[in-house]
Order: sequence, then structure tokens, then C-alpha cells
Amino acid sequence: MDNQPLDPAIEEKARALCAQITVAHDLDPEIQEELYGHVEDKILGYLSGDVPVSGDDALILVREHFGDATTIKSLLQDVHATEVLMGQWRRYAVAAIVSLGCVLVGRAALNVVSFCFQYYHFKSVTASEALVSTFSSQEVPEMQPLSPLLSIPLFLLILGFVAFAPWGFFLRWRRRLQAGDRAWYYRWKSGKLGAVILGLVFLNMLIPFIPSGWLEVNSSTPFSLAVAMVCTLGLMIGQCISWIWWCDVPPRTQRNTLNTAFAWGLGFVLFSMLPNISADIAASPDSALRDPGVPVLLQGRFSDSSLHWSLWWSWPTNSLRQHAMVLLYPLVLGGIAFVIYGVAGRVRKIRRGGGIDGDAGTTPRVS
Amino acid sequence: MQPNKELIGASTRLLILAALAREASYGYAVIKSINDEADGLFVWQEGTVYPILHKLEKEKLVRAQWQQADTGRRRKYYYITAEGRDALADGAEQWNGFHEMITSMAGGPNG
Repeated sequence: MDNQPLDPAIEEKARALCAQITVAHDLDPEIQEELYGHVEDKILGYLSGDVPVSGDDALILVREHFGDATTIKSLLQDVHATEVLMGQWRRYAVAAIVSLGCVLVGRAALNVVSFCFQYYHFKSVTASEALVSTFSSQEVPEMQPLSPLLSIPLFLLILGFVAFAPWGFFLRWRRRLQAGDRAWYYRWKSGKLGAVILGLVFLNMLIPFIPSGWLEVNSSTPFSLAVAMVCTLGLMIGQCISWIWWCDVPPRTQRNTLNTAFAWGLGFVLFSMLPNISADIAASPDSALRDPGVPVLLQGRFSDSSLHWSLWWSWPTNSLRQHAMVLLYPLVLGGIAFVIYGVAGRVRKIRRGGGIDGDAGTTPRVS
Repeated sequence: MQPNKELIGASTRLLILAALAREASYGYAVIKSINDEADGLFVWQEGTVYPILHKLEKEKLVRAQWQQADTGRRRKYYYITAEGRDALADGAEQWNGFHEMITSMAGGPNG
């Protein structure tokens, strides 16, 4: 048999035939590779045969002998029923990880920015000094065990790491995916995926969410609504981009894109129902979100001012209407995911000069 | 004469096990060797052989390993296991039993 590689156009069509059988149904990528090996050998067999045929004719013959793709797909799904089911759940688990990870990174980044603002606002008296005083205060005894963790450099270092380390992580995985490695979520065991989800939920609950009480922004002002919308939109776009960089292996399918977008959104919705730590720092008791805050005695030239710090665990107290609004998140995220995937697909097609690339909504079809 | 589908379907597992008992091989080569041996007696829909190979692997009658083929390309090789050889022996015995019975009944004094 000829050891020469296949013509790229023929190879692409052969891969599309195999993808038609395996990709849309979460079958192991190795199965696709095995089927492609068969198709490749068969085409090369025809091309090096006694009767010369063109690549396209060889592909037609291969397809004829290979059998009906729908039947083979169905037979493979029967044999690998458990893996198909687990593959779908695995994809949802990954979506939850991306969703929770993005929320974690977003909140950590927001906190870093908040601390910087607070430092600027209160000059030499930093927010973390107030935080330390709160954690070591007798008035919040359940927070005291955490107080040693809260020194300014350590806290900022941890938040900075949480906020920015994932970029390197994403880039590393992107390179591995491009090099043909299997996606990380196929390599990880189910227990590890579950542990990461639990860990992220735990971390998300531990990182304080700092409402900007000291900026006199509260939930009734249009400004805070605008800030919330910008943050939410940023989070959605961040999730989509994280997914594309870190997890997604083309060719993509409409079904998987839609499932994943909903899983992202639902992860966020579930997270919004968990209790977490809220923190508020205010220049006066009147502007504090939670009354009474812990008064912090300022030193030096700020000794005539007061600072009120609150830190509390709470269950979300959203109204039914607010919960209903949160449920719109998966729908909006689904729309954004389609737009981003569509743009990413077009860019890739332009770079490759057109042809089948199997992006969202263009599941390869060989008719 | 083309045998009916049921007959081909019933014999596929044993044919694959028999081919692998001769020599460990990958999907395409297994199908090719059986087609060569059949010499036109039947033609398989080749893609349908892979679900059977995977089922045999799940039943631990064969084990699989990715390795380089003679062509230099990476292929998934299948090796028959001890359980596979036992299953092949049992299956062949049953086929022989049926074969003898049918031959005897069809070719008997009144056949």
C-alpha cells in the first residue's frame, strides 16, 4: 500500500465521513481516529490499485463499502451507551467548572480592583486593615479562625493569582489541543472532575463579594444596574472565550454548543442560590449596606473619621422576580455563545481559505 | 450465491475471532483478510465490523492497543485473549454441530 499521505481535500472529506458517525454523539475521539484509519487505508488501496481511480471516486467506493453511516452510528452508540451518557455528563461537568471558574476569577479580579479603589479612597488606611480588624473582632467570632490569612500582601497575592493565573493555564491547554492532545476533561477521572467542582464552589463561597457601599452605589441606583449588566456581560463573554480556548475541540455541533451554553448558565444560576460571604465597607453607618457594621478606629490624620466594616454569611434573598430574571441567563448566554462561535468559525474559515471546518452549526455532512 | 444476512450476522463474531487467532491485526486488515478468504462468498458492510470489534473488546474476548502498522501509520491493533480463544473454540464447536445436523438432515436417505 502507498505510504504517501492523502491529498488534503480528500483527507478532509474522509474525516468528515468519520465525524458524521462519531462526533455528534460524544463517542470517544479514538473511535473516529480508528474509523479514519480504515477509510484512509481503503482509499490508498484504491489509489494504488490496478485500475486507476481519482481520489473522489475512491471516496465514493469507500463510502459504498463502508455501509450506512446512520446504522453504524447507531450500532456504535449501542455498544458504547455508557460512555455516550458519561460523555454528555462529563461535558456538563466541564461547563460547570468553566462557569464556576469564571465567576471565581471575575470576583477575585473585582475584589482586587475594589481593594485598590479603597486604598485610594481611604488613603493610608487600607481596606485590608479594616478586614483584619473585622476578622479578629470579638463581634464576628466565626470569622476569627480566618484572620491569620488576611495580611495585605498575602491576600492581594492570592487574589491576583486567582484572577490572572488561568490565562497561562488556558494558553497552555490551547496549545496542547492544537497539537492534537485529547481534551483535559476526557483524560480526567470523574472523581477528579467532581472534586474540582466542589472545590470551586467552596472557593466561590469563601471569596467575599464586596458590594461597593463605600461608593454609595446600591441596588436601587441605575448606575449599579449598569455596572451589574456590564459585569454580567463580561462574565458571559469570558465564559465563552474560556470555553473556546480551554475546552472546545472542533468540529463543534449545534447540539453540543446549545447543551453547553445552557449548562454554563445553569451552573451560574445554581451558584447564585448558594450562600456566600458578603463584605461591605462604608465611610459612615448611614451608607453601610448592613447595619450595624463593625466600627474601625482610624489612626493619625484620619482619627476624626470613622469606618464601618461588615462581613457576613448569607443566603441570597432574591425575590421570585429576581430568580426568574436569573433564569434568563442561560438563554442570553446561549445567544452569545452562538455569536462568538459563529465569528470564531468564520475567522477560521477565512484563515484556512474556506472549506469544511465543522464549526458550530456546520456539522460536517457527507452526502 | 450470496448467503442471507442472518447467516452472515451470526458468523461475524466467530470470523473476527478466528482471524485474530491467526494473527493480531487492525480493523482494515482483519476485514481484508476475511474478504480474501471469503473469495466473493459474501461482502461485508465494513463499517459494521467496528461495533462488533468494540463489543468483543468490552467482553474482554480481545484487547486493543494503538501501535504503528507496517505502513508506518498508527492503527488500533486487536489481540485475541485466552477468553476469546475459549469463545472461538465453543462457537466453532456449535457451528460444526449445526453443520453436521443440517448436512445429515438435508443429505440423508430422504433428502
